[in-house]
Amino acid sequence: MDEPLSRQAEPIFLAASELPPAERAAHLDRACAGNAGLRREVEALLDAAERSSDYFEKLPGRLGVASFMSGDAATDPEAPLAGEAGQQFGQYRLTAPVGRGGMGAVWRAVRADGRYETDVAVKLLSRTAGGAPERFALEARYLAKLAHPNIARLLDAGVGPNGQPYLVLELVDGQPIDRYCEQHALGVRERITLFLAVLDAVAHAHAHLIVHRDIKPSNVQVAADGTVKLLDFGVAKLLGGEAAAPGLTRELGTALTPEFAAPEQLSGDAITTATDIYALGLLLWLILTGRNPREAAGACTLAELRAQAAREPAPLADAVPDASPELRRALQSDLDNIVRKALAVEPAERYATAADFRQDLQRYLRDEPVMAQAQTIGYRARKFVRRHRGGVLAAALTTIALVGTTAIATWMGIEARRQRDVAIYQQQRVQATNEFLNLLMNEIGPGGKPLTMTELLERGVEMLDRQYGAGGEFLGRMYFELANAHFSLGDTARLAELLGRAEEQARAQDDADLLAAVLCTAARARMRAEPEAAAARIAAARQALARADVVSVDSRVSCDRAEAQALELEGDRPAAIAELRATLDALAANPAASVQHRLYVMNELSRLTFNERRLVETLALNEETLDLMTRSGRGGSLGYVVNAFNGSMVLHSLGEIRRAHDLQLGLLERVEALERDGVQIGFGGYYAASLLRLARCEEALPIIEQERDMLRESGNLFGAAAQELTLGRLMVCLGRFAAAAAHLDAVEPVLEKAPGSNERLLALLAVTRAQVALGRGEPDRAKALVDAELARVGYPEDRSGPDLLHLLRIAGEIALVRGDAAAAETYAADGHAAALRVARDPAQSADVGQALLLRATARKAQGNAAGARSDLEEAVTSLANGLGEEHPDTKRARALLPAA
Amino acid sequence: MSTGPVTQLLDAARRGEVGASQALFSAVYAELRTLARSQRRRWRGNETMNTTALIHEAYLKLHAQGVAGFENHKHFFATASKAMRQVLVNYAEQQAAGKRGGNALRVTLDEVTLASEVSADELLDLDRLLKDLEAEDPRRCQVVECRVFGGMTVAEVAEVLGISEATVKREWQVACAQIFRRLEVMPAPDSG
Repeated sequence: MDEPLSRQAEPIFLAASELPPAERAAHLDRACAGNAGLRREVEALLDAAERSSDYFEKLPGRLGVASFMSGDAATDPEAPLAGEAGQQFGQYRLTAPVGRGGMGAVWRAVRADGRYETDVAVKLLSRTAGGAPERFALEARYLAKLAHPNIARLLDAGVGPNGQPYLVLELVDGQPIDRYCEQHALGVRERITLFLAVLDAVAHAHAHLIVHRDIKPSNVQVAADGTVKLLDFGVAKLLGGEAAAPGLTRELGTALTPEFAAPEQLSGDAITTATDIYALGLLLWLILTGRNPREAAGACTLAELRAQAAREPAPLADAVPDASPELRRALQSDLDNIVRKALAVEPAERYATAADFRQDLQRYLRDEPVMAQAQTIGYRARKFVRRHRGGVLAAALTTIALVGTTAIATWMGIEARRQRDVAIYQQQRVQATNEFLNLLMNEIGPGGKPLTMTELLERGVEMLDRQYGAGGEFLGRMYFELANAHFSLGDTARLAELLGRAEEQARAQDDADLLAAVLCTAARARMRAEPEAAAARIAAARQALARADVVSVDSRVSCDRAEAQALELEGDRPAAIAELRATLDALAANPAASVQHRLYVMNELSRLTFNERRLVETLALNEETLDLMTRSGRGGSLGYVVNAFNGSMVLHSLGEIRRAHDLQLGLLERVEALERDGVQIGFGGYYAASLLRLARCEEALPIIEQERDMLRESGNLFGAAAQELTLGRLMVCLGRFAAAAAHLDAVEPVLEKAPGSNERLLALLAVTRAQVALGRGEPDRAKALVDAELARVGYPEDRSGPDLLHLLRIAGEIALVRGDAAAAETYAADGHAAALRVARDPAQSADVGQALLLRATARKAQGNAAGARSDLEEAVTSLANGLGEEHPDTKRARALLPAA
Repeated sequence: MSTGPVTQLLDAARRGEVGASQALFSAVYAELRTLARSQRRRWRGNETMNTTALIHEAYLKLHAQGVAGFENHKHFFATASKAMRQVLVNYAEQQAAGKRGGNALRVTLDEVTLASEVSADELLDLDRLLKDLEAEDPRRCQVVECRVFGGMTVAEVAEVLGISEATVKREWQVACAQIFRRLEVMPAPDSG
C-alpha cells in the first residue's frame, strides 16, 4: 500500500523549502511527476510554512514560556530582534543594533532633533520575553535612583510605537573588562585598579539597596579611555521595601547566568548584596587568571554546577600553571585570601559590602595586612586567642568544655521517668551546644567584624532566651554553662548575673541538683573575696544535694572542686589534693561521667600538685590528661596544646630544660602548621624562658618583646610586666647590665601595685638586681640584695620556697666573686639538695648540674680536688642532659674535668 | 513525592521500560501542579505566573530529590515540556468550561493565572492537533513540545532528544507547516 499523501509530501516539501522561491516550481514539476494531489499537498505545506514561521516563533513567548535550559530566550540568535533601524523612540532614532541584552535588543541611537551629537543606547524589551515588562519598568526605576560615574546612566524611558517599552541609556563603546585586560596586557595592579571602579559602582548600588544580581564580564564594559561602566540592571532587585511585583523574584531562574551565579542563587536561597560580592569574586578571579573557575570543572547540569559552587575554589595560582614568577607571587599572596573571602560559600562569610571588598584590595595594593585571611580553624583559634590572651588557658578549657557536650550524667541510679527527661534534655543540650560552638567557630561576625568573647557569650544568652523562652527546662542548665564560660574569662559581674539567673531557674524548677551546682560555682567564684559566704554556699549546696533525688556529675564535681579550694585557702593543700583525688577515682568508676568532668578535675589537681611542688605527680597527671584528650578526640584542639605547654612548664621546673625546649618547639611547629605567621597563642613566653635557661639569649629577645607588646596591648599590665622582667634577665644574660637595670626600673612600680599577687615576680626582680650589681662590679651590693631576699624567704630554716635553688645559685656565684669559697660551697650544697628534692631524675636535671658545677668550683677554690672531681663528673651528665652539650655550663664543666 | 520514586522513574524511563515514561510524566506533572498551587497561595493576589519559573522550580525540587546525571537532566526537560503543555491545557480547559458555565470565578480557584496571551480556545486547538501528531509521529510531537512548551532552541532540543540539529530543524519545519495548515482549516470552536 502506498504511503499517505502527507508522508510522500514531506521530503519534497523539505527539499523545496531549501530552494529559493523562484526555483521551487521547477522542483515540484520534477518531484511530483504529474501527481496533482501530491503537488497540492506540498504547495499547501510550503504556503503554511511561509506564514507559520512567525506564529510558531512567537508562540513560546505568547505562552509565557522562555527556554529553561539556556535560561535566556532573548539571547537565542533565532529569536527576532525587536526594533528596526530608523524607528523612533521618544527623542531618539535607532541607527544600528548593538546586541541582545538581558531581555531584549539594544540599539545605537541618535537624538532625532540633532540637538546632541552623542550617541545613546536604546534598549527595547523583546516581544518574546514573556512577563518581562514589569522587570523592564523596575530596571528604569532602579537606574533612576543611581548616579555614578561607573554606572551607565539612564537618560530617558517610555513606551514607544506599538506599546514597545524602551530605555534610553548612556552608550558605552567599550569591551568586556576581561577582554580589555587581555588586549591591553595589563599587569596585576592595573587590573585590580580597574576592578576597584567596578566595586565602586556596585557599592553605590548597594548603598541604594539595589542588588545587581547579574554581574559578569559582558555587563562590565571598559571604554577606550579606560572608564569602567556597569551595565544592565535588568534583573536587579531592591532590598527591603517596595513589595512591588513579588512574582518577579520567581523569574530568577531564567535570569541567572550559571557561570557567575552564587551558590544561594543556584539553590534558590535569599539573594542579598552578598550575592553580588560572590559574582564580583568570580569576576576578579577571571580578570586575574584569565579564566572562570567554573569553566575548568565543566559542569553540565545544574546539579553539577551547584555541587561545584558549594566547593571552595582552588588556589588562584593553580589556575595559571604557566604564570610568570611575578604573577605567581601575586596570585599566591593575600590576593588569594581576598578572592577566597569573596567566594565563600556561606554568604555571611563573604565581604559584607562592596566597600569592604574595595578597602581590602586597596590594603593589598598598599602592602598592608588584609582583612581576609585563610579561614582555617587555626586562624580562628589564633584570632580568638590573641584577643583573649589573658584568659587563654582558662578559655581554652572552656572551649573544650563546650565541645565536649557533656552529658548530664547521674551520680547514682535513677528511675526511668527521670531517665527519659534526661535523654530529652541531653538531646536539646547537644543541639544548643552545637549552635553555640558554631558561633564560637564563626566568631568573625557578620560584616567581617570580629566578635569579642563577651559578645560571643552574649549571643549565647540571646540564643537561649530566644530558643527556649522563659520557661525552658534547660534554661537554668544553659545559663549555668554560660556562667562557667564567663568564669573562665574572669568577668565577675556577668558571672554573678548569669549564676543568679541559673539559681532563679533552679529554684523555679525545684531542681535541687542544679541549685547545688550553681551554689558551688558561685562559691568558687568568690572564694578569695568572700570566704565566709563561700563556705555558707557550699553548706547550702550540700543540703540541696542531700534532698536531691538525683545527683548529677556536674554538681558533684562542682562542689568537690569548691571544697578543695576552700581547703587550699585554709592552707591545707594536701587535703585539697586528697579530696580531688577521691573525686577523680569516683569519676573513673562512674560510666556516666564525661571526659570533660575528668579533665576539669585533673586540671585542678595539676595546679594544686604543681603549687605543692609535687612535680613528678603533676607530670604524671599531665601525661594522663594528654592521653585522655587524645583518646577522646581532643588531640587536635587548642586545649591540647595548652595542656602540652603546661607539661613543658613542669619539665622546665623539674630542671629538664632541654626536654622542655624540644617539646615546646614541636608544639610551636604544630601551632604554626595551623597558622601563617610565627609564634603565637601566647606560648612565646614559655618558649623564651626555656631559651633563656639554654643561654640562647639572642633568639629569645624578639619573642619576649613581641609577647610583652601583645600583653600590653591587651591591657594585661602584670603579664606585660612579667615579660619586661624577663627582658631584664635577658639583658643580664647578654651582659648588657645598664639595659637590664632600665628594664627592672620599669617593672618595679607596676609589680609594687599588687605586691601580694606578684610575690614571686618581686623575688625574681630582687635576684636579677643582684645579678646586675654583680655584673657591674658591685659584689657587696649584690650580696646585700641576695641576703635580704634569703632572709625574706626564711632561709636557712625554711627551704621549701619554689625559687630557692635559683636564689642559692646566685648567692653562691656572688660569694665566689667575693672570694668566700666556703660560703659558696654551703649555698651550692643547699641548692643541690633543693634541686634533688624537686628532680625526678638527678642525671636529667639542669638544676642539679648547675648546683654541682658551682660546688665543684667552690671546692676547687678551697683545694678539695677530689670533691670537685666527683661533683664535676656528676655535673657533666646532668648538664649535658638538662641543658645540652652546647650550653656554656656544660662546656665549662667538661673543660674543668681533666684539670681537676 | 519522595526521593526514591522519581529517580527510579527516570532510570526506568531511560532504560525504556514500558509505562515508565508515562509514570515519570505523571510525577513531573503532579509536581508542577502542586507548585503552581502553592505559588498561588503564596502570592494571594492576582499576579501572573511565569511558566518558566514554574518549570525551573519543579526541576530544582525534583532535582533535590535525587534526579542526577546528565541523561536524567535531559530527560527531565523533555518530560517537563510535555507536563507544561498539560498544565497549560488543563488551565485552558477549566477556563473554557468556566466560560461556558458562566462562572469565571471557579476557574481560577485551583490554578494559577498564567501569563499567557494565548486564548484557551487556541491552546485547546493546538493541543488537539498535537495529539493527532503524537499518534502519527511521537518524536515530531516531542520536538514541537520542547520548542513550544519548553521554549528550547533547536540546539537544545537536539541535545535533549539526542538527535541531530538538522533533524530537529526538519521535523520542526514539517510539523509547523502541518499544524498551521490544519489550524487554519479547523472549524471555529464550539461557542454555544
